[in-house]
Amino acid sequence: MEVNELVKKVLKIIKENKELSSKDKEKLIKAEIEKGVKK
Amino acid sequence: MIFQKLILNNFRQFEGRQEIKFSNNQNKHISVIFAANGVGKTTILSSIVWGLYGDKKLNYTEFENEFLNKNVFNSMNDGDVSNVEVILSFEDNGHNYIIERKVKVKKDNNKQYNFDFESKILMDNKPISQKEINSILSPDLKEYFFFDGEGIDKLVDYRKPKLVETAIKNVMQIDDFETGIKYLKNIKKEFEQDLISLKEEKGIDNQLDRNKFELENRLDSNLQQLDKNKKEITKIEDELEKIKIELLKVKEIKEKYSQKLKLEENLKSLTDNLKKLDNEYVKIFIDKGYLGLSYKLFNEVDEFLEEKREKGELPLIGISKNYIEKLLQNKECICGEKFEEGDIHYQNLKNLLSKTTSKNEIEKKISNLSVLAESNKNLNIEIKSQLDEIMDNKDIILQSINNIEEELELLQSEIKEDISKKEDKLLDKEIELNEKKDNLFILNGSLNKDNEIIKKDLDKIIKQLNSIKEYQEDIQILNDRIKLCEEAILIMEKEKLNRTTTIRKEFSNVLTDRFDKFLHSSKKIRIDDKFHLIIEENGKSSAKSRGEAKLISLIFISTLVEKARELELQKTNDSLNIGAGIYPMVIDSPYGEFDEIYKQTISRLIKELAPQVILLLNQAQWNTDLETIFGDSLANIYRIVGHRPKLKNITNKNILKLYNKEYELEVYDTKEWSSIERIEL
Repeated sequence: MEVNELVKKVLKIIKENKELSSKDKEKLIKAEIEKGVKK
Repeated sequence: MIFQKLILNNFRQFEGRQEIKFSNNQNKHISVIFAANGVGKTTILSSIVWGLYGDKKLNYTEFENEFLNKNVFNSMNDGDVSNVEVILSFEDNGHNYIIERKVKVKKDNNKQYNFDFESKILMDNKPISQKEINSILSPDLKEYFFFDGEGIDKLVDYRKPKLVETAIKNVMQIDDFETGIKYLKNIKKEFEQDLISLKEEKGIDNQLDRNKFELENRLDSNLQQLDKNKKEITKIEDELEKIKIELLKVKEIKEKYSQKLKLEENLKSLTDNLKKLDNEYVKIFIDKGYLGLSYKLFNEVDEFLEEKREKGELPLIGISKNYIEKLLQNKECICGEKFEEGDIHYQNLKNLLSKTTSKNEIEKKISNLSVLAESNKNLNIEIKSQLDEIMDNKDIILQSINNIEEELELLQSEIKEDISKKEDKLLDKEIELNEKKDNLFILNGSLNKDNEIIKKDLDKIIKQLNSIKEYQEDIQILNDRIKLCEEAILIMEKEKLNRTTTIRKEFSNVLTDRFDKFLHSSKKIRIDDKFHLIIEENGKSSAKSRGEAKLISLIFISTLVEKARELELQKTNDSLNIGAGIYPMVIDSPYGEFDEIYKQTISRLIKELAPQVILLLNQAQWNTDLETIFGDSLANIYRIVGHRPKLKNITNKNILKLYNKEYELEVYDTKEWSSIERIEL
């Protein structure tokens, strides 16, 4: 996963999931990172 | 966000159902709602904000708990309940939103008691949450987009720089970067904690690698030795095979010798037998053979005598004495020859005569001899046959002996050495090789045993190492994730700083330009590091008049809206620009106490910058200059008509003059309420 791709995803998640709690948004971002950097 | 329609039902001054359609045309983007003071301008602002955010208290009014129209309320008995409703529809980013807010109002001791607040929020006819509306335009920013011009100067109050900062950061999405950075830092910490836990969990050093290395070397060396031994064993086995073949040959030779010896013994026995038979034969021949041999003679004599007898020259039975005497007298032998007295024939006849007593006895004797000869004839043949057989056997044995001797000679020529020595040598070699082979097998056995142990140990180590490898991979992944977070944080911080600096700079420039453009002032406006809006003149901080503060506020808000729209329009999938949204401006009495020049200035500013403007004005704030300024941009014009009992005897009503026409903003009614009417130009 490229860093710019991650930044875009982070911003998108924040922008499009404002109804979610911070923890849930963090979980979504973390899942994206884990999906992007795996074995 | 572009508003489409607002419907009010018994909401504060507005009795019954009232409706306003806003212009969403890009070129005719200004909607104006005229109203005399106190009949509902601010209520419109308040209804829009309630429609958007559904607060349980009303904003922009001192009667924050009074949702229900007073006439309706007054017509109710104590304990009665009525409904208040606001329906707001807007379009944003290609989606249509409809928000319905309802509240039940009970008359309780002549006071409004609000309960059962109900909201229905739809996006493209599908229910969504309030949070989604908040994500379009944060309630924190409502004062920037739905504001009362009277108090707008408070926005640039140096004591409240936080408002300016919040507005810039929120509208320009800088706070999204800040939030992103905060989230990424938390996530990075989580990955770092995972990494620490993983390392603690697997407290394994490099000793395993070293053990594995040693074991692998030992196994490798053992395997090489085994391979070497295997080759040696194969070689030995080949040699043993050769020895076996040679020993077989030796065995064969020995067997042949033994055969030869047996045959030689046979031969000897046969030869002895032959000799014995020969002797026997000779003896038989001597004893009885003559009979056999004289058999023909006797037959011939017999035949001769028979012939003589038939001729009558002999007496029929035997030779008589007289006949011999006659022959002696005639000097003629039996055989027919003439003789003289005294010769052999004479002597034989004389001798015969002496032995012959009578002619019948001789014949009898001859006849007996003939019978004897006849009976011995077979004996002779038998002996002959036996002798022939022995001779044949002898020949066969001799032939066999010859063959064996030939074979022996051939084998001997192949061996070319003494057979016993050769055999001994081969057997010695065989023993030696077998011993060697046995030793190698024993060695291989111990090597294999060692290898089994090594393999077991290696298996264990490999399992541990695999787990380490997996753990190292996990570590690598966690490190990569941490690194990715760090890089993303760096980029976001850089972008945030860039945006903050650029936007502050751009804002300062734009604000100064506009201040100059609209007020022809040489004063400079800038936003400092603490997000204070500063007015400077000749490099020194200049005091703000209330009018300047209001103008700065308006310039600031419109610039904010414009910048947000710029960002929104520039957003692409490839850039980090995630857009900033398009926002309307709903301004209640923007002109306040401004003079005509200010009014015109602000009007030009509003017209140019916001994509949708909803102006709430009283008749006094409107004039022909504004008609000129707004011109074709005006789309939907409404008037709020104040129904007032007090106007019964008053003729000086509030009248709106618009494009040379007059419109009543107040009418007499028996009860006090407001209605909304569209003005068709």
